[in-house]
Amino acid sequence: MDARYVNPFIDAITHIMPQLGFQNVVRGGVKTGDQFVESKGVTILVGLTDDARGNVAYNMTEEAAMKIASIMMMGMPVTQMDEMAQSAISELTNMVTGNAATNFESLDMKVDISPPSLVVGQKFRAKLSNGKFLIIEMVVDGIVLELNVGID
Amino acid sequence: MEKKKVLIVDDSPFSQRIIKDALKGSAFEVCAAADTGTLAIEEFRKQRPDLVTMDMTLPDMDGLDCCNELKKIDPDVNIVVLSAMRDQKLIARGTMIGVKEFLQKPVKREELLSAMEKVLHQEGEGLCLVDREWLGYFDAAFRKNIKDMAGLESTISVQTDVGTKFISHGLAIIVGLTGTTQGRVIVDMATDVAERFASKMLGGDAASEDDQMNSVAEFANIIAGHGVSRINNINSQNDMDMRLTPPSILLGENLSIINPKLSSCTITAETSVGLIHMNVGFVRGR
Repeated sequence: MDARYVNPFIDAITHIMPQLGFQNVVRGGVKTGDQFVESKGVTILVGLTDDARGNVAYNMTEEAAMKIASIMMMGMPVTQMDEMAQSAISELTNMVTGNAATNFESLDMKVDISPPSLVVGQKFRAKLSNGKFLIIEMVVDGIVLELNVGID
Repeated sequence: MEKKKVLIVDDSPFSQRIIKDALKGSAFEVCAAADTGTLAIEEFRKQRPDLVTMDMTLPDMDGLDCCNELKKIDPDVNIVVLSAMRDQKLIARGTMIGVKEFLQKPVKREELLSAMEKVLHQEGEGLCLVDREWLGYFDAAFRKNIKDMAGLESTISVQTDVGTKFISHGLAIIVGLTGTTQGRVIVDMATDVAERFASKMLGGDAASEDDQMNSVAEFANIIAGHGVSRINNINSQNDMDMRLTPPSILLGENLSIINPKLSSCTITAETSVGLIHMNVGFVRGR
């Protein structure tokens, strides 16, 4: 898939995270993945349609998800992936993907997104597209957040 | 499915006609129409409608006064105000009385139906009326394609209001729905069922893991596509433009698939190769 599709997502994370109370957003490596995303524990899937068709999987450990939810709730302690934490993480991915969809306009592409599906479980795999996908690692306040972008 | 009864209060025959037409083919039916406040109160006592659409200028009384009278008869009355006027003062007064929705004429069918189901929806949890109607389209596509694509007979059971969480049985295909209404369709089955189901779809050949994923993903894509086309066709005059995102495939044991904003239903088909599940959900409060 086209490497140009990476930037709308990186820009979205860089733009959205500080608004949610995160101080430090660092871009890690970008590599390609083949076939399956191996879940780290919590994976959120968002579908893309119109000019870019595919799926994005936000992948993180449960611990990372709870830390992110905690920061989003202004430091409130989060000790389990309860409804509030699920809602926070879902909202985060909705905002980031929505912002990325807007960023695609600079590539002259119209993109619409589906509601997020948050998947929790032990050892599972997700297939996003027919071919390869891009893995973008972002580190926000020391928490690793992996984006997997599969666009056909 | 029982339709919800609607009382139309409006002194304009034209407006009454527009509202009646808008409700055709929806989950609502008009039980009476009144062109004065007095008649509205009389019909309300007689019919006990589930919902009232209220005009603001009636020959014998102010629409909000009429709302107030209805409120005395039934404190839980569901009213959608439908008027040429829609200003802050009116909304403030109406809200005090307990009116939940204010629409300005001319109103689009989709806008009206959406406001009406929203008002009813505030009563309780679960799928709203329009969603239930739509669920039927996906249900029909599900049954048809189990037969057409895999040649299998099925017995269907429906579990309504599953809520925001769905537990996968092994292989889950998620197809996102985008557009004016958002949601998603999940087709799900145990991996041994997927193996037999894919084999049926492939005309009896052995199905590798790839075959299973691809066959079931295509099956899910077609069902979702049929359901969405039907919704778009029926609502073609309202710029309803729902689209599908490509299927994403999940493989794993005991996965919870969650969307906190979604309410959903699960339809299960019992077939000779095992149980096939379809979960359909829409985002609330569109």
